[in-house]
Amino acid sequence: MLAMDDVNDDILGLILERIDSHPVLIRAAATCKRWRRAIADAGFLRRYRSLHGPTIAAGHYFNGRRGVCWPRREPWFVPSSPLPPPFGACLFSLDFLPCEADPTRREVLDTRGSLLLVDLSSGYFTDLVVCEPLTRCYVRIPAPEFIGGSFPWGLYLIDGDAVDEAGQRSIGMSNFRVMCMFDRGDVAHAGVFTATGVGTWTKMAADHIAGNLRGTTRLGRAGGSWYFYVAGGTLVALDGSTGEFSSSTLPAAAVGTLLSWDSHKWSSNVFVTDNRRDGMPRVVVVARGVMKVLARPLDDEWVLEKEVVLSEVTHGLPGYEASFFNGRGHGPVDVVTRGTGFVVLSVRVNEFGDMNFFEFFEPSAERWVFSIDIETMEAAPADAGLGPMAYPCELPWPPALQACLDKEG
Amino acid sequence: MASAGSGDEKAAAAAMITLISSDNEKFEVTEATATLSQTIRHMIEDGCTDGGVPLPNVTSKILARVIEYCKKHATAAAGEEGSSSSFSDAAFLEVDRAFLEELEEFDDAFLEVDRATLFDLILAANYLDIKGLLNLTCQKVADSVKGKTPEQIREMYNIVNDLTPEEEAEIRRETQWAFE
Repeated sequence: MLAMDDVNDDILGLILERIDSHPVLIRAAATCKRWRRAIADAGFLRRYRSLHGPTIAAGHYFNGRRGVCWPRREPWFVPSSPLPPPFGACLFSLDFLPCEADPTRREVLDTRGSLLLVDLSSGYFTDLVVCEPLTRCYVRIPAPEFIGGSFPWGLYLIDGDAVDEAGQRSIGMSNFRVMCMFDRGDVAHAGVFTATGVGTWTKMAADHIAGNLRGTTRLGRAGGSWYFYVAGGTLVALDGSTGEFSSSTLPAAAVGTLLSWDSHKWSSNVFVTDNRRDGMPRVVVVARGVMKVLARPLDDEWVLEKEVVLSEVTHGLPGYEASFFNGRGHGPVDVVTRGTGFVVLSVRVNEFGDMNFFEFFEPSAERWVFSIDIETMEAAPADAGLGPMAYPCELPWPPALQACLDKEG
Repeated sequence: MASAGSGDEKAAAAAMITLISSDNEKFEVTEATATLSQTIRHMIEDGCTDGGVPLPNVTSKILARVIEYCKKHATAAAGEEGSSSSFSDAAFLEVDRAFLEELEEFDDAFLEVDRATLFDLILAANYLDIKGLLNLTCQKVADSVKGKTPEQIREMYNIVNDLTPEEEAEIRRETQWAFE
């Protein structure tokens, strides 16, 4: 009788690359040595990633909203698609972190790959850990001493220094960097903590990078990079793989309904995200009831890619009322949560518009909340309390498959 | 009976190919059906199909199933080609969708076979280079390991466990989360 042992390695590869779930692949790699070798093969893993990229995305962490009427809560995880049983969202719980401080003071500062950078005592950056929820490991990151009296304005996870044979960087518990941005005098500085080797902070000046980053606004993340706005329509990107900065300019012509790019520097209605399909950055502008998406094809100029009238894409949702969008000034639309591939928006449902005092105490009752998918531009009902950012988390990649490989062939 | 059909019949008859299974059974199929197999397509192009195509790696039982698959998918392919010019866009889409649905139902029913037959089909699809059938059958095996423990996968496919208990423990430690 024919069975699995009769198929050649090519066919075995064809079967294994069709397993469309990452945890199922890990289990298959524990079946026998032949399967394990086939799955751990670097070429197989590269092909698998290109076929099933989205299955490696596990979901998002949220810090929740902070405010008078929003009780503090621990950061939580929302899977992007239900994991096949028996894998559950509880795998992503942060209950293994040390809890000398109140767990509700924890704040996720950044995520990259399967790692999280968490501030255990919200807002002070003195109690930092880098952790991997799936393996329930964490390491403490010492407070960067060189900052002196300057307060850091951003901490970011960057791939480790190690480069594999194909020239690719990756991130893991023994191979990561943390970049800390702070201002001193008139110049932005950066410190880098490297996990490999001694694990200490080294300092670099960030003034020469791409204009001065001092006083910059964080616009969001796309395709593994963080984006910052510097005056005059300049976008600066921090590459999460190399840790290097680059810049591009937003075209004045694409401003459209805004007065100027600078006039929106401090508002949240201009931000950067990506669409889930290509992972390329998109600049999103929400103004006057219209959402515009700018793309930068071929690394060239930013051009208008999509434009939707929010009242039109949301009118099929439960609770929709035409009046939400045609109040004074077309009804202010607020950006509630900036995700990767999606955004959560809200409209104020009462006629007082932006003058509403009670809204501060009872926001959920006074807002109608929905999300828009950046790729399809389709609307869906959404949670109002996710907090300003969604932090994407992936399953560990490449998967840890070192054991029992070198004993045969 | 005679007039209109006879020309077509002649053309079809001219394009018949004989496939010979490993147990020497002969199968008459149209060229359109046979050329879903890239291997046979190349043989036809090289003009070496006179007197039948011997397939020493495929039994009559499996070849009959493979031909069943090819017939269905060749008809679908012909239908798609023909319809693009003779239907309006909307009608074309409607027909197209109906075809696809029917084809999907056919594929699902086609895969209702025991595991030994499934592997025979994979090997035949690989040997005959029939992309669609190879994809379909490999996907069926890949889907079958979902939700299974390594032990269950081994049982299902008669795989010998060549890992020692120590090695198994080491593997589990490495990616504990996937085994909980």
